[in-house]
Amino acid sequence: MNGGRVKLIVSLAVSALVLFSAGNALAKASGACVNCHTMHNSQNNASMMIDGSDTGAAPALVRAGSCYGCHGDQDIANGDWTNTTTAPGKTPRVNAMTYGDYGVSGDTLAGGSFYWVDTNLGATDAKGHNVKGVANVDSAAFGATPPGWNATFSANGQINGGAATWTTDNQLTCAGTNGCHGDHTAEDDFAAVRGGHHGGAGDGTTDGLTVATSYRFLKGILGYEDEDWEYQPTVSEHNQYHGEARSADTAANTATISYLCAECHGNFHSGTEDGMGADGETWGAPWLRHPTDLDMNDLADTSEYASYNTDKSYSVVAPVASDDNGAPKSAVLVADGDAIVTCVSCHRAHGSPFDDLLRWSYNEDGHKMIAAGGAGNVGCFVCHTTKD
Amino acid sequence: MKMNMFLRGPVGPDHLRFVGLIALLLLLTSTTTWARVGGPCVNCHTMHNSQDGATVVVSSSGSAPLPALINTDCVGCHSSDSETIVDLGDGTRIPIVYTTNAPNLTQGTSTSMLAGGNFHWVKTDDTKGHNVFGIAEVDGNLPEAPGGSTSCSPCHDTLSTAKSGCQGCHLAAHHADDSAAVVTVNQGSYRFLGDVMMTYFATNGGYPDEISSQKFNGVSGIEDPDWEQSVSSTKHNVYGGTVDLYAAAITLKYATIGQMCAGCHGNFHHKMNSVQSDLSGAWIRHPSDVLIPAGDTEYAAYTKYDPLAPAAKPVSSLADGMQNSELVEPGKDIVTCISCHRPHGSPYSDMLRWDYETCDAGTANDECGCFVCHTAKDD
Repeated sequence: MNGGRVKLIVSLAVSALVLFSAGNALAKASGACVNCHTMHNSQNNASMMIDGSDTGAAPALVRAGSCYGCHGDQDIANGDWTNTTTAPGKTPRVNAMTYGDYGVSGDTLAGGSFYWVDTNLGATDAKGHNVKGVANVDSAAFGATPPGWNATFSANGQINGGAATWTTDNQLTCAGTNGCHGDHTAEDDFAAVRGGHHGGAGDGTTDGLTVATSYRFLKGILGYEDEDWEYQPTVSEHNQYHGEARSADTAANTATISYLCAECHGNFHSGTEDGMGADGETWGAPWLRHPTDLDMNDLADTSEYASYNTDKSYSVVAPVASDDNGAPKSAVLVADGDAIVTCVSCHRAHGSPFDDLLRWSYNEDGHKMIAAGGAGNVGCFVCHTTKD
Repeated sequence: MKMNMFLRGPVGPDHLRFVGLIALLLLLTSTTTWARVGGPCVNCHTMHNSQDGATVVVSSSGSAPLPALINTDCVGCHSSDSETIVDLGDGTRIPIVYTTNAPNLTQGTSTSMLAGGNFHWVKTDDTKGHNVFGIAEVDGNLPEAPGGSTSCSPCHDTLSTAKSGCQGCHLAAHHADDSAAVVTVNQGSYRFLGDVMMTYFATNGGYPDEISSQKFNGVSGIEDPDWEQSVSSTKHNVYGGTVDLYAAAITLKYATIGQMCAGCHGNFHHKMNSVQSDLSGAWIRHPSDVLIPAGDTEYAAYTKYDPLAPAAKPVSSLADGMQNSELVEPGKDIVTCISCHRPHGSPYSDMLRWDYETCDAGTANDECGCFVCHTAKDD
């Protein structure tokens, strides 16, 4: 795989702040009300804010002044994160600190972690999305405008008002007009995700019609949510992302996880013979950018992709999406539409220990993807099975 | 039955006759028929505080004569060992707000807790009720009323001083004619919850110029005949609320029980929304004196009155019969402080009407009052 192209892809996934994870039972918040809410932000003459914020009472009567206060400060139910997967009222954590080589053996959840981009922890911009309240505005080298920004990807709501260019005043937020989650017509995080935590069908299904019934509160996006947000996922217990088996570079399906990313990074996803998107003049090789929303079922049976993850089992390292999201798939390349390459096949939306928030190290000392290096089917080589 | 006429003094049958309806301590309960004191005068009053060579008065302040010639103070009259309504006969019935034994939490018995709650628990646990003078010392956790929006001390800081106490909330009017179904300021105010500042100004140099033209008021409501010792969806108090947005004020202009609470806990009402001016923003504290939403909301499913989490009626709509109606009307009715709290005290933290610690989202629980309004949260 061409290194330059891979570099481009890297940005693709970037968008989704989200969590890219969740649980059927847990997508709808459960547990003691007191874990998350305080009626008057007053108890025994002290604040009830769990994150130590001094901004006073918070919207929705929650015990933190921001999304990160609950999801990235400390476990509001337990005070620490030692029992992330078993505690009642558990909260999906977006600042996990252990990753492993591929993010499937530590405590990092599916969406990745802001730990490595958190300014307060001395992290660096390249490791994740610079979300307001977590990290400073991305340095000038990266710019304020998202790479691949194209305002026309607005089927689920217009990001940043469709501005031609972004300024440092438009820093990425968790949700809302400048965020990934919730309703893009709402300016602040809390208003954007209103109704999300206690809504939803409760059976893990998503229809994309509301914030609550969208995958990870990514309004308009579909998917199947793993019940522990992919804490140490397995071949049978994982998210099932929604994808589109495209035959053209335009995006017909606006409910895919890749479309979510495209809302900010559209030119990495689609174009029409204009030098944008993945293809040149026709859908297929030679690619201009790494394809997304491409079904590997549409590639030759004799290609290396037919040996995805060696035995066509689902890889939690480099996952593929499907057009059917009723349940997690253990095997892929079984039927059309079950092996769709997507942005999150390579990226973790919140962040990772690796540059470009990749799911694995691509070009860093000690962890490079090296063709013909005999690394086995890991990272890029989960799909590019003969390149190792 | 034994009444503690004076909690810091001796208690015995001989003292029972002293017990009067003296006043004060609200009860947040009562009955249209019975709120007005009846019965022999001697039950409550002593003309000279002298009988057979001994004083009659026994109160938490000692044996000195008391105002209105009463035999004992608020706590002295409205306390007992166990019974929550003390019947002295001849028409004198006393709603009890402090029992030395824990009240029955199941309604419909002679020892069942009344609507306003009971100070039993705050006697030993500051978190379980208001620390009222004569029962509990100054709150160890709260040097001033939480949410307080005034620095007028000590009354707005604590009820545990002789200057505040029961009369911090109640303006006694035991002989007011409250025979009408709806009790307003003209009938002595619902549970004697009147403009207590009247007392202050009357004895502290008169009314300030800035409020001289304001009309003092009192809380309006309908009082259950047995102060909700027995209660159901068709037999209950009716609390008054408003959707008019009010700020801190000296008088009870809106006559709601929520505004009464806001007198000391102002910010819990006056700063409950991120856009308080029209409540168009996000709720940052639980709303009170605010409309229960109708339409496509979970709140619209609260249509049958549940005494666990009572809904208030607009003050302007209060009418006889509501006390026997189970109808709750989202879009018209109102959530108020009393929807969640019992002002005297309860067995639960923050004098809640139920144990908040057991309220789990996603788990059905008929004993969790949160779900009475938040009808979808227990699914």
